[in-house]
Amino acid sequence: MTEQNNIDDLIGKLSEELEPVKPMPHPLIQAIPYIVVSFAYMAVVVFYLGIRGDVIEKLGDVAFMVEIFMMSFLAISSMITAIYLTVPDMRGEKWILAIPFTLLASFFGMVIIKAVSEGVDMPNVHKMDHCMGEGGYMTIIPLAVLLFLTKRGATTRPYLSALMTIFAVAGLGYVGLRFTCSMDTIGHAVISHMIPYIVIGSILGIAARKIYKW
Amino acid sequence: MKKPSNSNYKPAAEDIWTENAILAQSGDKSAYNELLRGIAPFIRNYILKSLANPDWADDITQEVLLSVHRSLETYSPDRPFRPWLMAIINFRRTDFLRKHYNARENKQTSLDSPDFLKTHVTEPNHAGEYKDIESALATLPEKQRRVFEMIKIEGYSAKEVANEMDMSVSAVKVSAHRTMNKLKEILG
Repeated sequence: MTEQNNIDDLIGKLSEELEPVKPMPHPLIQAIPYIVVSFAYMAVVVFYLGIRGDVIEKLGDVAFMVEIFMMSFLAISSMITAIYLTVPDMRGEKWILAIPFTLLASFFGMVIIKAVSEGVDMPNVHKMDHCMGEGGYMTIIPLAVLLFLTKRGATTRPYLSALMTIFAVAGLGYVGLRFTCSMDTIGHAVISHMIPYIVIGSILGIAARKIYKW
Repeated sequence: MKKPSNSNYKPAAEDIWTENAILAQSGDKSAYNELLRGIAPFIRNYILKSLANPDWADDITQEVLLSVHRSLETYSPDRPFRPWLMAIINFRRTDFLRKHYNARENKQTSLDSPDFLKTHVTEPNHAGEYKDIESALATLPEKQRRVFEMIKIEGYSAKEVANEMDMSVSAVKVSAHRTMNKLKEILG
């Protein structure tokens, strides 16, 4: 049997198997409810775990608010990008990938400036465990839901999908932890608050082709 | 899809694909069949020019058709069909080549094997260069050629070659270096 016959047979078989399908909703229509629910869930966990005592003072601190907004935008843009990536051609909106990367680069720029101006001040081990656990509570469900949403599609960029998923939950967890943890040193914020996501991200990255196989 | 009012209007292949894809999403089997029959030769011709082995084109075409079938719900009727299809074609081609070359790393094939050039050379147009190198090596003195082959082709260390050829290590290195320069000169 020739290859052309194989292709003809395959086309015949696929045509026979066709069932009506409902086109996937626009990525923004999927992303907006997810973003709202994820942030609401994170806020509930933050209230449950207890807000830091000096929160009113911190809300008046420009540097703190810049950090919060930057990481919130990182989380939101990564959530939207992860869902856009479920469409093979991203609906032609590839430029959207630049937003989370720019925000992350800005965040690391801010980390370097703070490290130089204030010192790194590495965390103690007890406090580290505590923050890692709290970060886990804040992001485990948003992570599971985002993985479910992104797996439903047909990404042609599995590594970027994994990266955007981890950027999204890392941003979300970072924002939540800044409201529960009163340690403001950059060493603690980066090591304790980000390392768990770097580990999860590495696992997701290694398994990306399998996770997003379709 | 909005069509011009001109009665001579003949839709382009892409417009037909878009229309058929929308109909296929609603379960129209004949439109789907027409869509797949329309895109199959396009896929094959598109990927053919970038493959070392033309036989792979049919395998990748089948992979793309299966992928179109699996992901039909991700196509948005408000968007043109071709960019969506191209993203799938490029993804499946890369996936196929990655698997192929990963599997190839574990294989050992003799340079004398008649299938070597077909299965192990990415750009068949450059396959003749192997013969050019062999011819250039043949012009060198026996001992110099043997030193070069052992150190550069068979992967022996300079020390091992020195022991085998009864030479000093530095003499082996100098010989290999001179041979490399000579080959560059011959091959241009």
